[in-house]
Amino acid sequence: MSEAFSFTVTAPSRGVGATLSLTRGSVLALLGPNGSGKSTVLEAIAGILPEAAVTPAPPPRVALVTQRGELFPTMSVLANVAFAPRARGVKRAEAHEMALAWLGRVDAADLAHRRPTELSGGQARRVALARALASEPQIVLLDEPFAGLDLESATAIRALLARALKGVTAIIATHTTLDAHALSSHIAVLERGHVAESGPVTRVLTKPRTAFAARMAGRVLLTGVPQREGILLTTGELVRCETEAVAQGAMAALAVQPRDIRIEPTGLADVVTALEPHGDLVRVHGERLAADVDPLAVPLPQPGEAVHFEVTATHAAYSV
Amino acid sequence: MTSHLPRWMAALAVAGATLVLLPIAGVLTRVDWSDFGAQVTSPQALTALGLSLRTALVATVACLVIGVPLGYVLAVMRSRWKAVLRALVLAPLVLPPVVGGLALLYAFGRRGLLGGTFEALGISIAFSTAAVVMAQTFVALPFMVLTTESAIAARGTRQESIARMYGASRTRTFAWVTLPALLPALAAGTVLAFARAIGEFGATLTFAGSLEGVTRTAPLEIYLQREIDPGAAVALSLVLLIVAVAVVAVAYRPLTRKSAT
Repeated sequence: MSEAFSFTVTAPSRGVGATLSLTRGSVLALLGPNGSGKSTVLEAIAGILPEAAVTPAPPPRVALVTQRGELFPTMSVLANVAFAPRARGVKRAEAHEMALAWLGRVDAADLAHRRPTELSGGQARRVALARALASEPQIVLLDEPFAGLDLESATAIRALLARALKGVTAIIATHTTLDAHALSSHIAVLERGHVAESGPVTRVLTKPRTAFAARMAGRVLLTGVPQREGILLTTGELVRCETEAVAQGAMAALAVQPRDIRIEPTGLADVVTALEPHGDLVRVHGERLAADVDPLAVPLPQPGEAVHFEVTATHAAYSV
Repeated sequence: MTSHLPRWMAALAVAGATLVLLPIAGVLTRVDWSDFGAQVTSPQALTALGLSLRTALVATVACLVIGVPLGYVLAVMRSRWKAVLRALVLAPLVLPPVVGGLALLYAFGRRGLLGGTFEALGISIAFSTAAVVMAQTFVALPFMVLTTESAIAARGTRQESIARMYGASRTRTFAWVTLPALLPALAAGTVLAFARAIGEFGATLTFAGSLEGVTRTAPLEIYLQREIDPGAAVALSLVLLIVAVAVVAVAYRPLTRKSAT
């Protein structure tokens, strides 16, 4: 029942070469920063990118909901949603009935007779989703479905998606771990057009194996040789942690949350690269580590300043 | 919008408007208003006007049917010959109409490239009403091609990609997605093509001749009457002027304005 299949997408002109594994009936999150090639991968699978190649060929019915929704501006909302059934030869009246039902499922039935230009961002996103689902796709592709939406609409549409995507094979491109946690079972982390790491969401986000995946998960990755009292980094520094779970002969890794890291007079030496607001704290990024700092309690370091980071909580290391 | 216009430019704009408006005023001063009704309803005038209207309408439809596909091809083709092809297709825009008429004769005339073929089929195009339509289509086509090409190039083919993704055939995609989006541009192109066709003179005279009721359109009738009965020529000129101005005023809208909504 949970049949797995995979695609390799290549678009050399855009620096993309990525293999994605999907499980039929479940959602894959494609996590990556802006410019990592998420849209290119989705557009390639949707078959609307002539310069890209996908092997093996995707199933014939794939529906992509692009970031801007891109409804047909000359048609009513109803005609937009009825488009795919009509294109497949369903009679006009019947297609309109189907479209109304799909609009109902995304709480947008009252918008049926509006023009796309008369919709808010959130409404347009709902209609675009209904149009995609109405095509009865074998794979649904969603490109940053919450980009540009206010918090309220984004939350509402996320809840709606969680409902609508039950049992649907889908790929969601996103740059936040929230979407991955809320909507998907598996994740692929995209770094400059290539998959850096992939696997079940919890595994990849809590026990990442690459520094890039760790950064996307909002964690700091420390790797080294396991010792009884911690792991020995290549720099010769020791970080205290539990190492019982590390397999014999394997390298050990530790994915620490910046809230469990402090700036101290001694510890792991680093140089500050950037400061980033993080709730009521400030995330101080170094070249190797990062720490969440309370700006009211501690003077903020400047970029370029030498600091020492200390891991405060005791974590469990895992093998990599 | 006008508030940023440099003052010297306003002066030049007035000069430009004068150049166009003064000759029109000149026509108006020469019209013999007491005789105007009789002059424009004379059998000769009505025949010429009727022929002009019919041929220009058919030519405009022909421009739509072949000009839109040509503009589409030019907009989406990716060849280094594109610029050359565009220049050739738009040549009638800059070619003296007489040269256009001669070129048509060399292609479709009795001794032209395709003349023998048509002859064998028992068809003679030159000096027939069909020749009038062809001459008008020849000179008016660039307007349709240009407006279509720029409209398609401006909007891209993204919507078409999405329609194809949802399983629409190429023809359905064109009919349901491309065509409705092109309507404002097509309206503009149609008006320009019609206006150009109804004013056509040189190519028509060369390729179709001036046979009353068959090929003598209003511009040709004006040219003929200019020697015999200048009053009738002026009256007919005014009618053409009114038709052209009315059509453009009613139907022509700048492209960018409407496409935004």
